[in-house]
Amino acid sequence: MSNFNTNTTLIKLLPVLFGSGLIVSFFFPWVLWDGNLVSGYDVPKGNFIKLSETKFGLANPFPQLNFLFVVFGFIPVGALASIILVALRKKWNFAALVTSVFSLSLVSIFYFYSQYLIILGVGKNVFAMLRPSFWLQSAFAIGLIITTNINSSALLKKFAWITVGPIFVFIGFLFMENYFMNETFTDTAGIKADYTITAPELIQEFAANDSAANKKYREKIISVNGTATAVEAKSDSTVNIKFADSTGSYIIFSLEKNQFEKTKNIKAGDIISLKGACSGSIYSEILRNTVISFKRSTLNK
Amino acid sequence: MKKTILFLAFIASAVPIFAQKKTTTSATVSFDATTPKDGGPKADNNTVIGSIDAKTGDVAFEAAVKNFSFASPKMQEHFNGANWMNSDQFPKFTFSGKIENINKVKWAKNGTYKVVVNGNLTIKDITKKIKVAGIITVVGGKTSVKTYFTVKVADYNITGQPIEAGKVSREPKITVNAEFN
Repeated sequence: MSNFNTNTTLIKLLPVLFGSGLIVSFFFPWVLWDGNLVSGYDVPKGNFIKLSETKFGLANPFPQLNFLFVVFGFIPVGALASIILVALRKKWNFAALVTSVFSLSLVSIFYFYSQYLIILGVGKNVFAMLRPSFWLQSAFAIGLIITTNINSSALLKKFAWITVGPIFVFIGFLFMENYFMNETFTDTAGIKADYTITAPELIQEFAANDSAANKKYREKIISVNGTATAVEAKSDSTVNIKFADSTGSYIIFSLEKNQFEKTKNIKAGDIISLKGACSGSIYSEILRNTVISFKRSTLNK
Repeated sequence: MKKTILFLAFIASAVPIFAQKKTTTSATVSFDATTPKDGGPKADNNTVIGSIDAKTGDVAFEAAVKNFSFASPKMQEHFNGANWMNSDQFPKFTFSGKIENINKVKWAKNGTYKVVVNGNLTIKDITKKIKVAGIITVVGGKTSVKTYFTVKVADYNITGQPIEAGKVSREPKITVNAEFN
């Protein structure tokens, strides 16, 4: 009889213990990403997305959904609510289940995001990135789900509550990966140039300060006006057009295949305007001069 | 005597043409790291600089890493990123080598010549010796070079989850097409 009493007390204490654990571990580091400790709390606080953008160059492709991060702030609130409800001997199961689902979803986000960072070259191993609070948060959330409706034997139902968050997040990541990898570059012709400059000016800017110019122009769309010094049409119907200066340094535009008809009649000496994605400069050891190259280029007009 | 002078004069006038180092600024290098799981990782660079010395058989190529053009912005970003080509720090791929059997090639005569090139390929400051088979074609005084080979990414310390997962080939195919003037 006394044994039974201890058990019921313990069972009542467990949700309190797990709920408190969820709250505490929420605020401690879950992962170490490239020297940055990130906790669950950094997500609703906005630090997570800020770090992702500035450090890893991964902006949320759907910024209109950024508010979703704030809802994870519900985890400690929901955990606290569950504890209070337990203390007041009120129905606490629903609050605990929802809190745990949020918690396991967030844990999954951290896991899949870590995996994605490895593709980018941040770290080599997901498990080396995870900190103790990551595991504690997962364990407390699973524990909380198990202790709900403790006398019911609906194991399958509990298993569903445990897996619903991770499955949802996994599908979300698959969708994002698919979205990213199938996305293609917009035709340069339809993009407004970030800079418009003459060919001699651009060559001069790279000659004056090569690293500053590279920083400024790399991967930007630039319109360059000048006198073509060479048109190199190749047998595979790709065309390159060059603007060279008297020293031999040159700008070269690799034109899109669909530009062949438009550009085939351009000759050296023609004054033209080209637009393309700047790849920055290299110093050619073969030619002993500076080369500024452009890809995905089109003829303006 | 007269004939000899005439002959020497002919040689003298011909030498600059034949001994000239030929260059191009519009060679194409394509790389194809596609796998049955992912057809995305491939790109072309149409502005590769190349030179070939008809006399010594010296061959050299330089490609701006950032001018490899992908269909997918994300893949291009990954390719240039720190774990892959790290193109901010290492902006060029370079190759320099020598054609083994240069004497076989008749630069003034139309024809197709199979050659073997021994050389060094440098990616991310790591240089590895490679031996590739190429074809030199001479048509109407114009020389073009074609070659095809594979590169082991592990040789250049390139590893990563997409390679493990079979989404990026461990041995991408490299195709070079150069038309010299």
